[in-house]
Amino acid sequence: MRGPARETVKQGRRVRRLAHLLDRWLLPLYALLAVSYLALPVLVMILFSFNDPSGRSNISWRGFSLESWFDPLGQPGLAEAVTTSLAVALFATLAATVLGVLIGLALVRHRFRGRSSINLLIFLPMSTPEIVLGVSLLTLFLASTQFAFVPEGTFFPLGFHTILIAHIMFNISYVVVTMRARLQGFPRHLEEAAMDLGANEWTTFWRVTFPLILPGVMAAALLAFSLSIDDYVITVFTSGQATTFPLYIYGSQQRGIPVQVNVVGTIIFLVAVGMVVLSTLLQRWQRPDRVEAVEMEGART
Amino acid sequence: MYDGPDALQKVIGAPVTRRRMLQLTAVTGVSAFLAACGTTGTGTSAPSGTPGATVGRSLSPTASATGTPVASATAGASATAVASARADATASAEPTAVATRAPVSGTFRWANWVGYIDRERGPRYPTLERFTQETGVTVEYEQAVDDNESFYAADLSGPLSVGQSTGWDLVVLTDWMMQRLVARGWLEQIDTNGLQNYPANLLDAYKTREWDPGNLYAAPWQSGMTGIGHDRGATGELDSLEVFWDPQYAGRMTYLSEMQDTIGLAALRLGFAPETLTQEQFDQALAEVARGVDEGLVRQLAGNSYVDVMALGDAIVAMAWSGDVQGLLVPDQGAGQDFQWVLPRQGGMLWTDNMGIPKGAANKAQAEAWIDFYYRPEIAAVVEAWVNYVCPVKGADEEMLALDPALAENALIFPTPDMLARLHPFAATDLDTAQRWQDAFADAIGL
Amino acid sequence: MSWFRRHPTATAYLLLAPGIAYLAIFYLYPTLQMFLVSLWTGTVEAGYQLTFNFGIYPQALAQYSDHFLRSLLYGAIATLLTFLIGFPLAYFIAFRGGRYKSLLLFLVIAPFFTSFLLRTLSWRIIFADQGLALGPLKDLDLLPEEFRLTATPSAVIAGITYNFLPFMTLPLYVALERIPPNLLEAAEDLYAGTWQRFRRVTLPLALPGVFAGTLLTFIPAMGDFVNAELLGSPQSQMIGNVIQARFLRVSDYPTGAALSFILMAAILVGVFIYARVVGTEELTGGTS
Repeated sequence: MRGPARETVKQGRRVRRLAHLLDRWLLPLYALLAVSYLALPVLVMILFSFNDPSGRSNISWRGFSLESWFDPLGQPGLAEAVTTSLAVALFATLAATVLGVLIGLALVRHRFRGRSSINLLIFLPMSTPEIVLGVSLLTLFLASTQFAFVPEGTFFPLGFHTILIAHIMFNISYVVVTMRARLQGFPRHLEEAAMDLGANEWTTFWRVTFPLILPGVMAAALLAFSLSIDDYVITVFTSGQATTFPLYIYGSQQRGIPVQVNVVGTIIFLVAVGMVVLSTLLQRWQRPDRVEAVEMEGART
Repeated sequence: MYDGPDALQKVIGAPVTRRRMLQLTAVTGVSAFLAACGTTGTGTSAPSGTPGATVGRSLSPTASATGTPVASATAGASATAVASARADATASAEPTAVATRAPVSGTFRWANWVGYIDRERGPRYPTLERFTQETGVTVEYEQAVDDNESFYAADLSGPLSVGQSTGWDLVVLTDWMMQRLVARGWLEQIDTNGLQNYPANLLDAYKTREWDPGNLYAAPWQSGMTGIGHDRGATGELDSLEVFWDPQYAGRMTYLSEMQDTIGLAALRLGFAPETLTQEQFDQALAEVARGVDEGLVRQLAGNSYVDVMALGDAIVAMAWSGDVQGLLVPDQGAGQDFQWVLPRQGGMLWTDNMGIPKGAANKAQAEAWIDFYYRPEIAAVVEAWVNYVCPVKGADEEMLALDPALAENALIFPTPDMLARLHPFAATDLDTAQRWQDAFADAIGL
Repeated sequence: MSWFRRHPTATAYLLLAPGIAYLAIFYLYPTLQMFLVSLWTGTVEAGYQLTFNFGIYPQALAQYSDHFLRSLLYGAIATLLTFLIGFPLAYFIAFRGGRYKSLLLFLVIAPFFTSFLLRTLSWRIIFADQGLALGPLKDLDLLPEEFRLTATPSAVIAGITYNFLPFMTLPLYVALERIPPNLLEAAEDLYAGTWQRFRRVTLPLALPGVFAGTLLTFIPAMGDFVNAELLGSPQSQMIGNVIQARFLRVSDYPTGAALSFILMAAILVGVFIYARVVGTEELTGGTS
């Protein structure tokens, strides 16, 4: 090779070496920094759960102490807030998962008119900012007092039930999207085989369909649960007097954050991480060949 | 011991113009309770030594004794006459017996601000426990009030606007919010029949509130002051409201998100009297506040959380409530922090928080039993010593000094006459004006 | 053959009915109701009346145009930052992750199993004026004493960026991960340099992920108010803060509803324009 072509190749080699350097060292270093950046506030939160609780607010470090860990719910209103959060998350997950799975099944496995409208309707709540979702529900609840057909006190004053309504609403879309991703490529022929062998619809559903979609359902339920537990914006507009854990945190940052808040936050974090690790291990144990595929889909949600 | 009427005498000696009259009533109000409370305070604040509770709320200056002629007691005359007939007519009430009403039992739900009652690790509330012991009524005590407006919006206005019960039997809110509730008819009238100590032991200064003649709707809980909270280690001694517009502290000061406090202090700096604020004066004060915000002097407008901002060292000057800085901030000695509260020489704001029973409360009788219990001087004294605010209960001062003589030095519990002369309540406007002023303020602070 | 098999369409509608009805009642109708509330006049205490006061819209828009623009600006900058930070990260995980892909993805998502309020508050502690990060730098005179990070617009944008980073990173990862490696090999065989390969193969194929990530980040960022409240100053308040104050502090429901409606409408218009560019099916993820 002579002349310009040779130059190109030489240049190419230099660039390649630079690229190689970038690739080999810089990129991993960057990834490490990025992950650390993501983790830093969590580490601070965990650290401050071991803070000495003698001050008013958990905002400066006073010394190491395990005291708050021995009494994690020992603040007035905290136990109630955590219970409310868990209850709302549980019921909202149940309801949203049921409703969402039904929609998901219909969308993926059936042909019908109005499919794109339904898709749009599912998509819309996810593309609406949370504040708008919260405000619109609040206006519904406010206006309900003027509707004759709504018995007094149903939606207003606000409380646990209105929080629940809100959480179910925003969770449905996420459940549908998760289910839809996992229902693609569902082996319908298995169902048909079952029915050819004499099983009726009901039996087929429970003994063939459901076990197969279960991982997807669990993933969707997990997503819904975690969204519900941590929701602040929609909840603040629809809660009235009821308090959930995020609302409690917000209130306490004005009154003085007790160390127990960090403790409960850390516990929630550890439990969530634990559940994910557990479910991954379970999947690996059950169906090692599907692990890759499942993880790909998990990444997509 | 200071003799209150002296200050009064000095003021009365001057020619009485209408403006003087208004000033007079203000001074009368506070010096009367001063007389009852007693004081040997020093000019500046002094740490009280008792573990301070926190004040978690945006309180605003009270409208007590504003705008009413000195001899106004007519409105409350009948009620107070009854009350004084029942109770001891002497100025210093002796510890009275428990209410002679039919004993109640049961429970009641109480929403209060944070750190507004004596508390021990646990959390346990000794005074509440004593109340339960003596009367058999248990208290569901919750520190549910962060802020007048948000508590109103979240807990009160909803149910009350559709005629339902709020679930609370007793709430503690600042004067202007109580005024609003009274105007709406959203408070139950406190049934004083059979109550020994209320309103008998209520200081006279509180008995002439226009919006609550007879004190049948709002029972004063604590009074407090708004002034300059600062980190003396970083700023040195401060005493002027100019500090809140001083570029030297740009970005390191906070204002209060409570309109009455911030506008009140701005008005004082401009030389206006907050208790007689006209629309024009309000506009000027608001312009000053807006200037502080727009020029980046103000780091943020905070409710209670200004304490945290100071603790972090992010702010070294703050518009602050008297009790907060005493008890809330634990100086981080390593950083040389030294938190002080100072009443500015131009003056500061005076406000009162009140107990009220929302309409439809299920356990009204139990809440009233508590109010009566609290108005026993020895009980109020215990709470006072812990909370570090100003007491509305007659005779509590003597009890307090018996508990801890050093408290006499605490100018925050016992403001000096010099301080009282510089303390002002906020103007008691009609509700429409108040709403307009709130909206204008919200605009100015970026919301 | 059972009824269900004979009527597959009807079955579909039956399956859809409960969920769609729920969304209709608690998503669609409230949106309409929000519009109606914006046309109310009155107060909480005295009561409201539907007076069709359309004038509230230009009024609210004019009064709070600053806040809208700020939300737009902060949202846009934060989205750009999440892309700049997230893309190399996603690239690394997709192409260099190897066996550790799942672990790395997990590390990206895991922090978000904690309350975002607590994480945002942690930033306030980390970047306190005299705190761990800034204190030593100031002591060493590397920063002026008056320098501050919290209570600034930068802190708000940084907070939003942090909170929405996974929402950008994950779709990018998914898109990048789908690129078949032999495509890149083929490009290399055709004498494409590293940069060229990136620019002409990787990037275009990653675009759907970029679109998805941008939407997932920009939309919530515009409506966010928590970061502005905890990390901001009075001059960096966003439209979300105003809406929140209108409802939860000042009880001015009509204005709050109007502002909320404007925000929603603006975003939906933007999304629909986006959808035309990208294609509805891609966006809503519908199946064929």
